[in-house]
Amino acid sequence: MVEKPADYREVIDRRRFMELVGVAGTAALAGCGNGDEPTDGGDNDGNSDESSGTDNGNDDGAGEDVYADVQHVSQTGLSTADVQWNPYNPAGFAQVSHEILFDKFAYYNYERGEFMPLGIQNWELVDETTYRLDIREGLMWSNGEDVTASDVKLQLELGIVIGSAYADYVESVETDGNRTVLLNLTEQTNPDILTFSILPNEWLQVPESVFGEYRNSLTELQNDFAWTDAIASGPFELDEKGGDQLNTTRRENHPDARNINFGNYAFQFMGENQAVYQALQNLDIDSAFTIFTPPRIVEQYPNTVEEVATPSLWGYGLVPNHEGKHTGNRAVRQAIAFAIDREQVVQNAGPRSKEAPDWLVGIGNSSQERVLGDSAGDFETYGKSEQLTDRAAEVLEEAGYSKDGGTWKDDNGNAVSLPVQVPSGWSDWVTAAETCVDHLNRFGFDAELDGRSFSNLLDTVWPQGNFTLASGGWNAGAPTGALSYFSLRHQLIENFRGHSYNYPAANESRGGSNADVSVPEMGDLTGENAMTVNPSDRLSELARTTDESTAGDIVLEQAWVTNVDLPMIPVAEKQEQSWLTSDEWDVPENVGETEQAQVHWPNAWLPRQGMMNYSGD
Amino acid sequence: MIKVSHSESSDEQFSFDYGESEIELTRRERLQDFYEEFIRKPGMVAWNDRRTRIGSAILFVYVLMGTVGVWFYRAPQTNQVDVPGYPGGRGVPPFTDLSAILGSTQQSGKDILAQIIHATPNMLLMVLSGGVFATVVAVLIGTVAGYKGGTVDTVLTSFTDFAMSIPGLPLVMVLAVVLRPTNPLVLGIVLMVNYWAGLGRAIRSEVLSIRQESFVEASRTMGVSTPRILFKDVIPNIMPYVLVNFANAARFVIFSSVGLYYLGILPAGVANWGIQLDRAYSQGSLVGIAALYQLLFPMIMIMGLALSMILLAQGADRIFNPRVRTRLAGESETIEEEEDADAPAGVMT
Amino acid sequence: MNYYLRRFLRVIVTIWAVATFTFALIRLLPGGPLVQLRAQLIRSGASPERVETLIQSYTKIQPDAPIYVQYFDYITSLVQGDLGESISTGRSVGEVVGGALPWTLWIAIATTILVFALAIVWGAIMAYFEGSNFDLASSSASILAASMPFYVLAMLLIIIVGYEFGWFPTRFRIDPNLEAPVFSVAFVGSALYHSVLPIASMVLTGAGLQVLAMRGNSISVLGKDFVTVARLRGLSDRRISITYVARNAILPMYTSMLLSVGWYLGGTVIVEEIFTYRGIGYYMYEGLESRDYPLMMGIFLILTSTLVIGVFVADLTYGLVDPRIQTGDQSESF
Repeated sequence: MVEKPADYREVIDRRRFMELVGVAGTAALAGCGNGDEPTDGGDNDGNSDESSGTDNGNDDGAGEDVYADVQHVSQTGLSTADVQWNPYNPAGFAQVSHEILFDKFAYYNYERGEFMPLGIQNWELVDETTYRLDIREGLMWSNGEDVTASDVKLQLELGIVIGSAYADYVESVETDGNRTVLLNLTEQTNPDILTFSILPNEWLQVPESVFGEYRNSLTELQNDFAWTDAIASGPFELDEKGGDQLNTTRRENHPDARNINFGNYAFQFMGENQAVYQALQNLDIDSAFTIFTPPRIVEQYPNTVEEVATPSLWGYGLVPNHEGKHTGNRAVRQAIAFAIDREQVVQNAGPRSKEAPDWLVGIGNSSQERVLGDSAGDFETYGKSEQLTDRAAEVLEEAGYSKDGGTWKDDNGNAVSLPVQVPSGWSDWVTAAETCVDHLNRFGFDAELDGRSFSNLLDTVWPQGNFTLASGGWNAGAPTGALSYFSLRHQLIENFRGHSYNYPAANESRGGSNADVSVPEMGDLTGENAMTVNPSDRLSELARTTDESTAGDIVLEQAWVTNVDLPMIPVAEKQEQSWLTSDEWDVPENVGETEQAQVHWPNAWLPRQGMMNYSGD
Repeated sequence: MIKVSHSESSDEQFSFDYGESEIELTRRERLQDFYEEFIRKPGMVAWNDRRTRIGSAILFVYVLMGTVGVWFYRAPQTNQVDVPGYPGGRGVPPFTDLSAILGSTQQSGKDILAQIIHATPNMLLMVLSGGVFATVVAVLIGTVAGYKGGTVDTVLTSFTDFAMSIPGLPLVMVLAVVLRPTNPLVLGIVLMVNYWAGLGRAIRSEVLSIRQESFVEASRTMGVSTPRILFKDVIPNIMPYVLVNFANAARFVIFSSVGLYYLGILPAGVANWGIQLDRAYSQGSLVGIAALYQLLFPMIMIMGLALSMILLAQGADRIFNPRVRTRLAGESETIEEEEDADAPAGVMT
Repeated sequence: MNYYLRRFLRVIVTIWAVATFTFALIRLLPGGPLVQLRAQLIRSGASPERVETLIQSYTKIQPDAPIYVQYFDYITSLVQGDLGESISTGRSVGEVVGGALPWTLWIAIATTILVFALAIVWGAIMAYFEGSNFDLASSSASILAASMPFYVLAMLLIIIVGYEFGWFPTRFRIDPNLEAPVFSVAFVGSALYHSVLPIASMVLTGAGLQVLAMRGNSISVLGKDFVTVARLRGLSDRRISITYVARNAILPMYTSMLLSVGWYLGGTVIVEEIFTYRGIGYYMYEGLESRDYPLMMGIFLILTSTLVIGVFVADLTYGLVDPRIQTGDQSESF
């Protein structure tokens, strides 16, 4: 349910967004911890110092006016009866409730293009090969122990062993006092990459007292250990689990508790989007995180239901199997890209929440124009809002295919059959896939829809590479997908959904061998002059370079590889739609346009800032 | 699962005593007699019933849709509807434009009528294969067990009991997940995988009583072979009963296949009313009334086909159960000449 | 006594046969659950030995042992009440089932009883007023109800009664905010309230044909000689309908009712999913969706056993209802 794509509203000043979230090399992002200057007035609330948090006319709710009995009811798509909080064990791992129970290292604010510190209050590169994290002061686990550096050290070490994104660059982790952790890097590394791969993906959720014993028994950690009685580090602690709702209660001794004036935060289990639609319409729940909602439903909501749209930096795409009989052929992939009218797909699957990318490259929509810059004209768009069937026919014929009886066939007379797999429960993806299938059929491919349960696809089908065209996210997701390094890496080297797509340049775990790729020189899709590059080497180089123009060149070059070779075929980028209600809750006016709400997820971040309190009625 | 409860004996059934007296008949005459006794007369009885006529008419519409309709009406496609004011043909309400009389889907502009029509052939195939499979297996096992008796009966009955003790829907779901059937004919059989058991059991007790009839005994004493007796004497006499249950089985196929498609347990690559329901449901048709038509039309299709099956079953039941027929038709008050022995003792006091 | 003993043995044998069947389904199917489970585990990064141990703890099957050993182990575990471990929930299947089974039983049994209560009362009334407009309207309504699958009615009830009017809850077993001890008035009240729509969706659709069957039975009983004689003797209509008609018309429905329990038990898989009602039907669906084979097969086995035992118990009580069955030897050995 989390993954269900969302809606597009021009909430974001995208130009500004582009300036701030950049290609690798925009050092502005590194070390933007709150040790530095306060930015705009009054929004440094929630940081470590005892700054008063009276913003936007909200009562701070501090002290006297706590409504201990008031319950904020939100929603989760995961059965609350079977939920557990061991992040290394995927079975029943919490969805969204961990945002309240634990403090994330830092929240990324999409409006500002900055990380907002939470569990980690400061991060910086102290010298060429040392990266430093400082834990926020005054944090305690709900069992009364302090949150210490050795907790975080254990967490990062476990992350390295299981192969988190930062594992490639971190050699070892050590503590420096009670609140500081130092990461020793293998060699000089672009700090953005560390920041983006650590801060938004980790929560203070691994107390050593619980997880210490699993340091050397990883399989048990990943398969057997279900942490059902979580020890909280966030402003709410577990009250009662089981049944269809998860209840948490406010922790007096959390530093953010003074910003929160209600006693309980609950998550009700809603397995289907339509249940959430209904609950919001009746104001049965008080907030919801990332629920794809078609325009028709939004229109019916009472006006106290407020939408917050945030970038997702991923969306619907087609993942071809590069060892497939036809999809292994670059010409067929290009023909597929030409044959699909992306704008039509977007209009069908969610015009409010989705946007078709201008170019088919491994770069998020909002950064494409800036990253490609003057070279943009050299890149192929494959027809954003039309079916370029002539171009598609052209590349296919050149590759030896011919159309016979309305169907394209290879030189052996085999029809190009393209089953398109899609998770059957994701309604907007199904619509997108359906539309793609029709476009492909209209062009003369033999395409059909193959809907399966998401867990089946994720657990078995995709990792085993049992697909011809799978539906998959074509970008790395927010916020990491904002960095070209991560978005290119996602397409070329290692995608996060485990598609074994057998792309030669990819990692072994994705069916590749980090091989070279040979593409025509930039500017000509089918040109004669070939250039051969090794995407995996070039991306490592990108991660380590400090020279901006080198970085720019590598990004452009690899973007060209994705544009020509189409390791994945992007179709749409979505926005996440989160929902807040203002009938009983003091949220900033026009919360959808409020800077502070531009995070994943506003209903977890705003209460900590005193910006989502019970209004007292 | 609905068993037509039938406790009366079969005295009034059509006994076709050729075995005894008409050995001399030519093949042609016998066929004619057969037609007369087992097809025309029961057919007339059934046809006289309004329900049979309505049921047949409805079924005929479905057959038309599933055969001719598919030829003449376009296949469902995204954005196929072209109505001014509805970009991409999305969300055209029903009965606003002749080109898509039932409207189009909110999300992808598919013609709802096209979806409905093109789901019909597979559904009919499924119903047919499932119904045939269940009745054939039930008749075979039921008649053989009932007629042969002894060890054969014990073995077959135990097997039937075993099959009957498994709750059907969960079993079908497990099989559907493991086997992933896509061919409608195979799917029909999978859906009926243990449905036949209840019917087989009932047929067995029918056969048990038919076995004692004079005409069967006559055949037996004349040395007619067992399969022959089964096919000539026994099966024709249970035919009406089988027909009723064929219709019930067909209804079960419709309900469970649509249900499994709706739940997404069956592969979604085909057109099916259940998939239509699922799409409409998951895209929020339940919220607010405006989009309800997307749910209603497939619902009506499911109910219509099921309704025709029920009506046909009830019509066929007439042939089988003349007592109900005569009473309802007001022909006579009672035709009770048997079975008082069955009335519990002591009732009369 | 002999009869009951034989029936009991048959229950045991049936459950054993179903267990064998599930074993075969897990173990023998090419590309079946075991193969897929192994693939799942290998991908999760477990070492080969580890995979074998995990498979054993999940399914109670040692994949490497000779087949009869596997079979023996499997059955032994079952006899000890160990159904293996669910992959998706991380809990033992027994634990999942334990917390969910009572709710499903409530739905299935309440549905069955209500269907037949409705069928008997309504069918008898219709038979009594045979030929009237009431009879015609009721017959038509029954046929219409029977032509509607229960999940379709469930959806309609959710939209109309749940969403539009807000009369009844459309999900969960009890109010999630309720903090009341089990068996308190509030708890039971909430549980009943939440089960209204799931039960109604199956009862209203399921009763259709049963009403007609009861009507038919009643009509034929009404035509019997003993009823005519009773009438002639001047017994009151009420007495006739209760002592004679009801009894003789209901009996044939009894078997039908037993079969129905199985049908409604199976139906819970769909109904509970639609209403997010966490009974074992709901978990079975979750198991199917996430290809959690131990959960799926475990619940399948439990559902079957429940049905077999239920029918057995009902069989025992049948003798009380119908004195003719005392010998139990219904001339089956022909």
